[in-house]
Amino acid sequence: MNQNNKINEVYIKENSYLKITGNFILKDFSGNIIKKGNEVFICCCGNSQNMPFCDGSHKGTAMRK
Amino acid sequence: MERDNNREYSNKDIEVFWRPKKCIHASTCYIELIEVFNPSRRPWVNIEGATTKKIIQVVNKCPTEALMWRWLDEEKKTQVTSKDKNHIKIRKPGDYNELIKESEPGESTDILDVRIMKDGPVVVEGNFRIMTSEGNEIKTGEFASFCRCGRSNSMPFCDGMHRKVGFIG
Repeated sequence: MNQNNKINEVYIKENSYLKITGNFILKDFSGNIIKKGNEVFICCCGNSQNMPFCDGSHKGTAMRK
Repeated sequence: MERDNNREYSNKDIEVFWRPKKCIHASTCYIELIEVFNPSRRPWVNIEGATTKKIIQVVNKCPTEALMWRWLDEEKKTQVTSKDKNHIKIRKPGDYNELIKESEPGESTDILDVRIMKDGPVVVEGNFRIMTSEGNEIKTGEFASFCRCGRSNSMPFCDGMHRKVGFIG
């Protein structure tokens, strides 16, 4: 059960990135582990050159609402 | 009355249920088994496109209750078949086939399972909350599928748009 009270969180930076914090296992579609960790930034603007991670490309794009 | 567009498809062994409103566009079904689950085709499910065993395998991978199945055979029907909601499996790093821990139904686990779907959304499974940049909590969840292509009409969640815009990533 819960060993600590740390809350898993998905933080939405609209049209930029998702910041996932807590205790997670990041996997690709086949289930291969990409990363285990406590913090990751996932691109959600569609423009990153380093998918699936955010590389800051959302800046300067016209995706912001 | 609101139409739900629910569908049932059956072969000689099983019945597969499609509940479109439950779909979070995790893309598991068509990436794994395009012969049966092809969103570009109507009807999109071709139940004769693969063996019963394979179809069951893929339907069980659907993270929501959008796809479910049951045996047609009356005797088998009484057995537990469809997936168990809230059932979270934690697997050994580097070896997807080895289970470290399997939750009891309804038990919450600490570890978030984050999956990057091919050319699709990021699917988060576990116990978590969703915060906006303004600091508002919009949802606490066990399952969510977030847009990665930047084109969803129901941000921050996936609405299946990645397929229409040909998102690669």
